[in-house]
This record gives sequence, C-alpha cells and structure tokens, in this order.
Amino acid sequence: MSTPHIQAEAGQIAPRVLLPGDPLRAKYIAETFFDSPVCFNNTRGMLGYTGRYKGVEVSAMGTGMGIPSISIYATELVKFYGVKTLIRVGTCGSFREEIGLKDIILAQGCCTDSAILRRKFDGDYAPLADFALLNTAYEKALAQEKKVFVGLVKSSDMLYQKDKPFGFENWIKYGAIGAEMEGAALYTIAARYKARALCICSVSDGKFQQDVLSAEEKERSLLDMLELALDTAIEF
Amino acid sequence: MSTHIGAQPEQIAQTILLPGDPLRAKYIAETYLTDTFCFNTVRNMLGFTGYYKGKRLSVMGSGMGISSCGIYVHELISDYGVKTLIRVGTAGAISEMLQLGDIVIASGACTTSNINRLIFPGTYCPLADFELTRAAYLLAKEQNCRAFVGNLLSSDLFYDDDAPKDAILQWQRYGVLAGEMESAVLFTLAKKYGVRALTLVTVADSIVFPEKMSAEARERSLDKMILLGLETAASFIKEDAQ
Repeated sequence: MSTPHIQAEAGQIAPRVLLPGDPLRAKYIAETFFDSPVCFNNTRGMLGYTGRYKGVEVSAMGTGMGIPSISIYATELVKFYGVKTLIRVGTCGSFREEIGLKDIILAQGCCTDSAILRRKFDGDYAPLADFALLNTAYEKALAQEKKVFVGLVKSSDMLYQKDKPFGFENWIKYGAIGAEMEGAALYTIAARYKARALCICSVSDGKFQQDVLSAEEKERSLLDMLELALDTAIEF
Repeated sequence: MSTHIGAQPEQIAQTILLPGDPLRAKYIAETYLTDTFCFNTVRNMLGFTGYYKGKRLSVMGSGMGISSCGIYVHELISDYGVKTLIRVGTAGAISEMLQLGDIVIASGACTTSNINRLIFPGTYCPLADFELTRAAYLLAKEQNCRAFVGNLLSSDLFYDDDAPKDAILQWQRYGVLAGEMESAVLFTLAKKYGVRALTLVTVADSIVFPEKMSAEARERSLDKMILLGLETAASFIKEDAQ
C-alpha cells in the first residue's frame, strides 16, 4: 500500500510516531536513538523511519512546516497506517519572560489564526492535547528534572507576516505562552480519528530572549526534548 | 460591592465553587460548609462563604449561560480578588463513551458563542488550569469515580429547534465529551486575569441515549462531583491564605 504522500507498506510504521517538522531531524532521531532503524518514506524527501527505542517499536517522520503540510501527514498516518499516538517534537517561540531558551513547553491546547477550524465548525473548536499523554510527559519531565511549562500555545499560519492588523497582543493577554505552526491541526486531526496527540516544543527564541543558542546548546536541548518525547511515546 | 454582587471586600474567599443554580450553592453551603455566611442576595444569586475541613471557601450561583456566568466571573476576579474558580454543573453527554452519572473534568471548552471571535482573528482555545485539572484527575482516580478528562462544548442555546439535526455530531466526531453552557467564558476570563479555573460536570442526560437521571440519582451523583470539587479546591488553599 501507499498513500499519495507516504510510500510505506502496511505494518512498516509503528503505532507511535514522533513528528518533527524537519525530515532531517527525523533522520537524526532514528540515527541517535533507534536500534536497527528502517527508512519507510522518501516521497518528497519527507523521511520517515521505524526502529526500536528501549525495546519498543517507534517511528519518526517529518511533517514539513505549517498546518497544511502537517495535516496531510497526520491524516494519512492515522487514517491509513493506524497510528494511535502522535507526538510532535518541535521548536517554538516563547511569549513569557519566565520561559527561557531551552525550556520545554507542553501544549495543553492550541489556538490558531488558521481558518481550518472555522471551516469545520459552526463555533470555536478547542484543539486539546490528549490528557493521559500530556500528564505522562509532564510527570516524566519532572522526574527528569527538566524545566517544563504546560499551557496554551498559538499555532500561526505565517512565520513572516508584517502586514497583519493584529499582532500577538490578545493571544498573549489571554494566556498563550508560546507560538509554533502545527499544533492546532495535529490535535484536531487526532481527535477526529480517535488517536492521541501531544505537542512538545523546545524554546528556540522569544519575545524576551536576546541570547542566541550555540550549536552545542541547541543540540543538547533538542536531545533533552527528544528523550522526553520518546520516553513518553513508549508508554502508549 | 460590585454591580451584581452585594458582598463587602473580604467577604468572599479566594477560592470559589460555582454551580449554575443559586439554590445548589445554598445546598452546598448547608451540606458541606461550616460557619457559613450569605454574602449575596442581589438578583437572588445566592453566595456563601464558610469552611470546608477548616479551609475558607465560597460558593455562589453563576446563573445559566455564558453571558450570566461571564458577569459573575468577571466581578469575582476583578472586584473581589478571587484566585481559584471551580464550576460544578451538569452536562449532556455528546460522546458515546459516557454514561449517566459520569464526571467530566474539562481541560478545555469549545463554544458556539461569539465572545472570542470578537477578540481574536482566529480560533481561541479556552483551557482549564492544568494543575487544577491534574489535581481533580488524581483525586478522582484515588476515589475510584468514573471521570473523563477532555473537551466540553459550551453552547449559547439550550433550546435550538432550528439547528440542523446533526449539528451536534460534528462536535462528537472531534472528541467533545459533553455539552453545557458556561465553561468557555470561565476559562477565557481566568486566563485573561491570570487566575485558575476548572469545570467539573456530571452527565445528567444525553443526545446519544434517551435515559435521564431520576431526581434521587441526580442528587447522589451530584454529591460525588461536589465533593470532588471541594477536595480539589481545598488542595489549592494554603493555610496562610485564609
């Protein structure tokens, strides 16, 4: 079998998948953490791998950037490959002074400036993380002594957008702690197909952050997040 | 005194339970609190302050619907400095997983209201406070009550004969557990003012099954939820904040 965007055969993708935006990061996850990884997709260069982490079968695949791209991959993974647990591992910007570079944000829910929810609902849908997954990740983060924040994350359609009449002010005023570009779609699609989803982000920049991470610091904080995501994934 | 609440400053505790029905507020005060004092009778929206296991807390009706609840929540936070608000109400099951008497712990709420469309160029996501949600979840687990953590739909209209018959099914498809009428505004205002909020609801009827609760069963399962609300609230009251 294959789908329009994934060439894997049935059974080649594990029921739990880590989803970085960048396909090269999926490759990095496979090479760094997986025993005997197998590449199951190279369509559009969107690399996907399945291997074993602590003895449990796990996959990692890129989603591309933004709600339209992740919507394609998330839907095909849950609908055609029976994936039950999806954990996005990405970077985000921090809206809060107390949330600094390298800190980890677990998105309890995602608001968005995308139109996808308004098209689907006669009202405002609230895209939520699966609570069991969220709570497991939270408890593991505490146990691993990682600096973690749980809260509202904004999923934006445009990274570069200087012309918009509205800034981030109201989203921040009403509790958003960070921004990225995929979470709202991931949660909505997972809910539709009765799968679990969680969005874990490592803070890479922010409104209050002037520092720039060195390559080494970036790598270390990425490893911290990936370890948390993998340890969470194998519980489900 | 605020526009709709007749209490003096300090008469309302920093932690409050909010049923929709003011008579339920009275019931909670009479049944579970000691040394109670009625702080509000304006519009008959009864409010009481007392002690639960030695910890000072209040309970007050919110009325029905986002508009009414929004008024009380706003005044409680901005005029009386309330820091923790827990709605305790009833809901109709939307998900097929639920049975009569089940408790839903809302981690977020969808809505058919326009309130957030006026503020945001997109779709806002009203969320409960994570730590309150988690505390209620752990307490429910400890007490072995059937409780589900997830999404609610806060509707503006209880009676909506003109809505397409399958309108509710779209919310069901996307995992919404149950419908009620207040949580979206409670969560939105709590985030705006940086305070904690949570909703607990008991399933009293459903769009997916015809059964309704008997008055007696209703009372019994409401008590279970009220106790969960009180215990959750109490776990957030510091001894020195009384």
